Amino acid sequence: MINIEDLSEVFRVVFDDEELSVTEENTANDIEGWDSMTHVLLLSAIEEKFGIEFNQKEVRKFQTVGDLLASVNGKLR
Amino acid sequence: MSFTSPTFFLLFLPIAVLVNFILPGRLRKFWITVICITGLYFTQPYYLVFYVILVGINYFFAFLNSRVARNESKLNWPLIIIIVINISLLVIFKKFSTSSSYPRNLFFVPLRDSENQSINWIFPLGLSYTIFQLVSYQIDISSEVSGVERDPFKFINYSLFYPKMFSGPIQRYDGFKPSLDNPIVNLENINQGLQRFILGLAKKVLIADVLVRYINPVFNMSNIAIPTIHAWLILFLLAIQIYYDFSGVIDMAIGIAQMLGCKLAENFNYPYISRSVTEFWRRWHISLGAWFRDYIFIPMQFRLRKLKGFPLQVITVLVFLLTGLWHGFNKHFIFWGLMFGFVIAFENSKPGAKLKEVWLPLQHLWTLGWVVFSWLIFRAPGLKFVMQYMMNLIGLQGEISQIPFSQTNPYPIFENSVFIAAIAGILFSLPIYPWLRERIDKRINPSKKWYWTIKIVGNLLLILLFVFCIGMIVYSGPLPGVYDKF
Repeated sequence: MINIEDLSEVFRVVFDDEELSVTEENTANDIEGWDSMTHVLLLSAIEEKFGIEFNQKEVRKFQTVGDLLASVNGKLR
Repeated sequence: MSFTSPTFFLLFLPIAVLVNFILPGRLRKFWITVICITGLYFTQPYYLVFYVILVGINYFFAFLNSRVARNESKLNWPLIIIIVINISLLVIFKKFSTSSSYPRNLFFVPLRDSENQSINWIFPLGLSYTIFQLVSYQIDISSEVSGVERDPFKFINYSLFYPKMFSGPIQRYDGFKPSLDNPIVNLENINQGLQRFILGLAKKVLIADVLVRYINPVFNMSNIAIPTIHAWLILFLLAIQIYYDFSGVIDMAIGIAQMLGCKLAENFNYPYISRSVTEFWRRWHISLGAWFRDYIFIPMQFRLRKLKGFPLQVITVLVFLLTGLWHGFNKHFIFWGLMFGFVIAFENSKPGAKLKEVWLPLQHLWTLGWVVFSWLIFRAPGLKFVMQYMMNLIGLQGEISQIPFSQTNPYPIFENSVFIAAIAGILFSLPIYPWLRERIDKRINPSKKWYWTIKIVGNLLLILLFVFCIGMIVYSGPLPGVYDKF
């Protein structure tokens, strides 16, 4: 199981912002720099860090950071 | 039947809205279907059957698609087949249709003899929007983002919804589902929708159509040699005209939908205030950009993510090449798309990132420079014209052509109306209206004594604007929109 803080760490690296802290309710609109250019970079970074793999279908369904967290935890279980 | 034709907004629209308002809720979906079908019939009767078949095929494939999609390991062949059918139809029509036409009846049989009947197809108006919408619907079902629409009437209303049929926006099914199930038909929505419609009508008729009368004669010249200052002026007028034409039509579409109790997605967000070309494409024709982002750009990136070092720039250029092709298989659209692709690829590269640090006005200049130039390519009849026009811009046009005024009328005599329209165009391309609206809404409420005065004055101004628009249409006749032909 990982928590929101573990995920925040990946966000900080990808968006190059040491003070960034995400919440489960956050969406791409809330985080500067999270756009179509960086979205897949973020997903790859999460995959690499936690040793998991997303598939195309579930990726399309992510709406919030919470969805992302739930998916990662579902895979780590 | 264009939104700016008096038959539409003085007859068709009031009947459509009034009957929809009176009918009990459960009958409204049938009425919306009637509106869609009659609207289509009055626009291109010979494509009515075609569109109904297209929608029918998609309706049935959606069921197959969703059944196969439940099984993760299985190849989703219904999805592949239906996408191939949809895209092939679009490609065939884009490739082989011409804009000139001769009348056909409901079953596509020509009404009079013509020498080359077999190849002279006219493009089904709205096909680019409809196909992209249907493809998004099928992909969303396959990835279980949305469910299947079981009600055939609601599916027709989604696929062929008259307000968005001919100029978009490309509406996603999940965003439109609440409008299909529970349209909110009340006086408040009719009032707000009407306001939006009048503002859109004014954008199109009082700004875009005033300017286009000066732009068209220049773009119709076969060998262009005009004074350099005119070349620049016309180029800026073109940038204003295209924006007001397209966004005006979209405002009308959103307004009409709202009068019918439905909510369409926004398609513009003050694109000309963008600080980069990348940002411009998030504010301009939003529904098209979002389509390419969600169905091509991100899925391709995702599939290729394991190939470390595969440049994102390649996908960017490819996506914008496709964006160009969506507009038509002409060299100038391809060039237009590629230009945006390369500029955006550059902006998102390491050296391009430095652009964000330069002086703000220069960022705007960079953005508007590319955008204004892109409209020249977009509007030009071909690439040769673009080259000639650029020579005009830098003063290498040679001898100014002496074309009889009767052929270029009203160019080169710019009346005051052009400058008024242009100044209004520049002002309202800044977010002045929402800024003002917010201030007014915050300051006044029904308890203040000024409330009703401001409300009444506001509505009187809108009525005045509407009367101006009718006067203008009667004077010059309704003109087609730039984005009506896709």
